[in-house]
Amino acid sequence: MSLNDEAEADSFAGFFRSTNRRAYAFALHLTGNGEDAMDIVQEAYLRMHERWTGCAEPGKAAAWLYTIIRNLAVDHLRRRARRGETELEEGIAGPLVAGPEEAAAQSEVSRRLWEAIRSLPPGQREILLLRDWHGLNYAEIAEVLGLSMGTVSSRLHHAREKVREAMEGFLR
Amino acid sequence: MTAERHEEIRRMLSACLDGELTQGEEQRVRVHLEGCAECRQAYEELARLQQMTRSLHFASPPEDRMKELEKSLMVQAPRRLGWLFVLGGLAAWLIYAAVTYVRHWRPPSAEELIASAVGIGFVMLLASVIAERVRQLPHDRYRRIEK
Repeated sequence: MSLNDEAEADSFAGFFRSTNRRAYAFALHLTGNGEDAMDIVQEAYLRMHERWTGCAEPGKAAAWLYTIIRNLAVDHLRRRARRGETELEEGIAGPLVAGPEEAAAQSEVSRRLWEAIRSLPPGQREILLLRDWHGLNYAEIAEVLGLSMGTVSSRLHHAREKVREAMEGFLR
Repeated sequence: MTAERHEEIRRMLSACLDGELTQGEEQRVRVHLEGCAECRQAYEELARLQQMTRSLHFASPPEDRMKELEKSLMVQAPRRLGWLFVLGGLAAWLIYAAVTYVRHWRPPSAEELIASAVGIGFVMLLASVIAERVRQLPHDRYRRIEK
């Protein structure tokens, strides 16, 4: 079930419950750090809660949440980069899998797939995950990333072709 | 079928998979797929890839912190509610002053105004505490424990 299907339009509690895991995963893949990801998710939901009036369209609420998380993560990475703790790009490319236990739970094929996704340019990787893992449609992705729908479509096409090439022999 | 047209269709496969093409474009892709084994295979592989990406397992958020966050979000009385209590208190105070004026044909004294403000403030505070408690009740993890 996609994120948008799960989200309940009229209740913040329902929206929170149906989106928090994916929101955390998104923040984690932007920052590469569980503690930072949790802080960002917390701040994002608090900001949404202050302005929540009951969203008629769950997809819009999800795009709103992802936009806040992304902005907070970018600010956070900039601060870290200024302090010399990390390169801005390094944070974006951070690990999605938290630790060895989670990694071991995944099959060889999944690990290979993840390696292929991770080797994509950040702009393509982000779009691929927003579409295929988070379940956002092109319009929502365009809104979150501030891109045109044509750019989203084109980057997604290139990303999928690269991953398909890398996964040759595992897709039949 | 020209090589350019073939390439054009290949570029549309991804958007077709996501249901992001117009009806006309989708029709063109479907017709092409029926006659082109190479593109059909590419489309099937993209579909499989999407399925596999969907089932990737990512790290879960820390359960305790997420529960704490949910609790704090749900019990946090909206700011508008706080303003309602303030406005309600102010309105009650003005009504008290007006009623006093009508009943005694004189404005309320400073002592009366101070006493009524304290009384109304106390009642509003009590009401906000009760409202907060009522909001917290469904999320109180200790509510089933007998004292």
